[in-house]
Amino acid sequence: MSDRRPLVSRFAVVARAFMACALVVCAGALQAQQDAALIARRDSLRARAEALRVEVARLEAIERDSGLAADVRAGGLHLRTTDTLRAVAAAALADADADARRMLGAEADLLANHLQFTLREHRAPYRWTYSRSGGPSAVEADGRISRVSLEGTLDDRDLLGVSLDYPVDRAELASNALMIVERAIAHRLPASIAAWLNYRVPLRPDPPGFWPELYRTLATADAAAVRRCVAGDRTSCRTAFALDSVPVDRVAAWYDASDYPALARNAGDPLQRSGMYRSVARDEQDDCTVRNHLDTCRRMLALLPVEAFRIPMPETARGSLTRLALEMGGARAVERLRTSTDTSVGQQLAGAAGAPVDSVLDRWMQRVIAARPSSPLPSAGFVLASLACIAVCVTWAVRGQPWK
Amino acid sequence: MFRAVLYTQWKSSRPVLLLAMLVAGYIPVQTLRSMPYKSADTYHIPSLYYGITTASTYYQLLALATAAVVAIASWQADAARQHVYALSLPLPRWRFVLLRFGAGAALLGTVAAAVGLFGGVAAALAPLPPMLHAYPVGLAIRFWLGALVPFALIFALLASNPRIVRILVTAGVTLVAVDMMLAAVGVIESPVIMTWMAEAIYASNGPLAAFLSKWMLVDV
Amino acid sequence: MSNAISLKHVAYRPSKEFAIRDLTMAVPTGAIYGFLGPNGSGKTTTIKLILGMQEADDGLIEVLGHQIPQGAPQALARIGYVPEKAHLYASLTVGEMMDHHRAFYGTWDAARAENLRRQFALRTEQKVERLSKGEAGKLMMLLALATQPELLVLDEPTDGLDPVVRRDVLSALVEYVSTRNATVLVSSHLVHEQERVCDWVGVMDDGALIAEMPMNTFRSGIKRLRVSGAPPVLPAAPFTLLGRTATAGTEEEWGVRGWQPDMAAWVTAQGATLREVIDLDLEESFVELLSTARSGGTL
Repeated sequence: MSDRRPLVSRFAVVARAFMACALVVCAGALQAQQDAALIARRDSLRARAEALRVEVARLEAIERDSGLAADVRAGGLHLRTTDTLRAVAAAALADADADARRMLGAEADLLANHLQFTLREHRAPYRWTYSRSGGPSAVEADGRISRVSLEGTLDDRDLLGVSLDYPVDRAELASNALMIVERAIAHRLPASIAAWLNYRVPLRPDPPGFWPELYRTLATADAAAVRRCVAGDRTSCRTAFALDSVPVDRVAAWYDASDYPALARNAGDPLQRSGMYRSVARDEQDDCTVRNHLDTCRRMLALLPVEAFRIPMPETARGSLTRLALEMGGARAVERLRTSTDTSVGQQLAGAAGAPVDSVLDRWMQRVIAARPSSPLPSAGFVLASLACIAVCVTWAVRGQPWK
Repeated sequence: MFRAVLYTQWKSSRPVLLLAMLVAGYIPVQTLRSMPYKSADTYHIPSLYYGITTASTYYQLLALATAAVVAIASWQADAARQHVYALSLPLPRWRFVLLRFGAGAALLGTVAAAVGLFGGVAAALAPLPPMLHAYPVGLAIRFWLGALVPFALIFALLASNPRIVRILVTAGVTLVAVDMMLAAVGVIESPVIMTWMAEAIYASNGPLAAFLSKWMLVDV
Repeated sequence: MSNAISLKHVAYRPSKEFAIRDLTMAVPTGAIYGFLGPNGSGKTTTIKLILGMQEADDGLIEVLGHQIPQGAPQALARIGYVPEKAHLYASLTVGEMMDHHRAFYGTWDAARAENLRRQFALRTEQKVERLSKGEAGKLMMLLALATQPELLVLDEPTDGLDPVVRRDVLSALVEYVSTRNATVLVSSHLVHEQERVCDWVGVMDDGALIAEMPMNTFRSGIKRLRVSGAPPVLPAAPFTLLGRTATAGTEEEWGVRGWQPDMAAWVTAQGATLREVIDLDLEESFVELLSTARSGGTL
């Protein structure tokens, strides 16, 4: 008996071990089977969610566009909107088209069938109320239009969406439509000049006081090249506009040494800047930014990536130069700009203007320099308004009886 | 008569006026001397322009404070004695009010003159770059006009019947409160009166338009 | 005789608690008119109406031939005014205050002003805010007299002043009036002081003028009679019986106005015995008048 026991025992051990293994394998298989089911269920749920999302989006789009029964056309521009907004949309679109056509001429038709505007109504689903006991809470709104949105699509690519207050101001709507046209035209230009213009070809007339303000901006700009430009130095203008090419050593080309401390403080993205300056001790940084030590500034500026130094001539100035070139070029200027094969911005502008870039630049400089504000004396309107206010107060004072 | 009234007002507001003149002298000196990026022969233009733009706010605050003090000083002596002396003088009330106003305006003019004078001297001594120019006269005129508006307003308030002022203020506060309450409970979308008042006051040709523009001693 | 000041049926209500009612008053040209009344009776308010500092709700006011308040500036140019409380600019010195005042009056007499300044012992460099009450009173009198006014309106000019200052101020006033024949309206509740200088008197109480007459009439006309055995009801008397007060037994004291010695027969005819006729001084007359007015008696 005693001999059999170990055998039995061994068998029992083996059998138990086998059973245990079988159990583990079975459990694993069961688990795998359960996992597969879960995965399948998850995937099916995901698919269903996605289908629902698509359906919701489709229904939303249908709902959103369901009211867009009005189709408004003005020259090469067309817009879909609701019946409520048809009148104002038609008037604003006509204004935008007239402004665009003034600069673009026949090129405006280039946009026909490509640029599509949509003007939608939005009704707030709820509004906020406040009670002393309950604090703020949302209640269902009365369904009035709270705002409208203007969207522009060029060849099915979204350009820009702008939200506007309701009731819509015609001039504001026209201005925003024109801004979208400006972007649409920029997308038709060669990449270099489109990027140089920050993807916006300025088409609108100069607002009042544009040139004097531009003079002030340029005369007090951070970059010495810009300041020298407005002082009448054409070479500096070419450099500051980067008309030929973007210089390799941007700091040296665009800035004076006296600009370095301000540049070291302001160039590029603040987060990026602080990361780059990590290797410079705070005291050393102060040497540059506070104590004006130019060598330290040079060292700090060398740490920044080249993209931190963007074209110093402001976007408004680049836009005004482009506008001038287009004005000089006449009816087909935009077409020439659009089809230009030149690589430098200067050559592209010269092509559009039909004149050497220096003559465009000279005319631009003349216009800026002539616009220098003569004296910051108060305007006649301001003086009259002040005097009227004073007269009202004095009349009031004369009739007063403070002793009563 | 004007001289006599001017003298009394000068006497009562003299310390503040002298302080205002000192500040008017200090602002341009401080602005032009403390430029961090000043080299031996010229300034760093953007920094200077920024400094002058900041100083513009100081000029506005100075104008506002001086106007308030001069307006209060204009009536303080009369108000302290229930206006008995002024009323016993042999001239119509309207003429006396105009004399007081004229004297106040003249005193503000002296501070404006100090603003122009000190600003002009400081700018003449400073190595201004060729792109920038000093406009002390323009600044002085702007300062004077800018100070006259709040001066006239406070002057009129102090010259009014206190009962009427109380009624006006109470009515105004009540209207604004009702307007804000209606907006809060959603009867109207936003406070109408507040918006209208803000637009009227700060419109480009509104009474406080002077304080919306920059008062630049040095400009392009 | 013309009037320097004339008020006809003037009404004015400065507050809910107090009103001037149907005030008719005349200050003859050349008179020194004592304007009497207790505190709060409306003397200062009446003066402010006369000077055009307040505007009456009703009635007519004429001062030196000018309608008030329309002609107040013209009238004020001929009036010297000393108010109840000092009204001068505290930040000025005595000299500056004189210069300031001079600027508004073409009639300013610099020599007289200088004499008065010396007489009142005021220093030009003294600051008004540091003047004592007496010095401020003297300065106000100086300013009023130096403009050579035809009419002086003095509202409690000696109130709160010590006797020496009061004497100085009054003597300067008397001297001016004697040389210029000016009209003076002097308001006070110090009755005995008025007695010495005034030739006309008006008594004000609770917004109404209860008496106005020449000083002599006022001083001699009011008597106190000690009477015994008078019947409770009296017929119409030849004098004005201001009031009856029982004293002891059948004895009474009567306050009377318009008394003449021959009227004793009328008292005897009523079965009464006239024991004594007492002369009242101005202050006692004033008190008698006021108490009669307040008890609703006939004045």
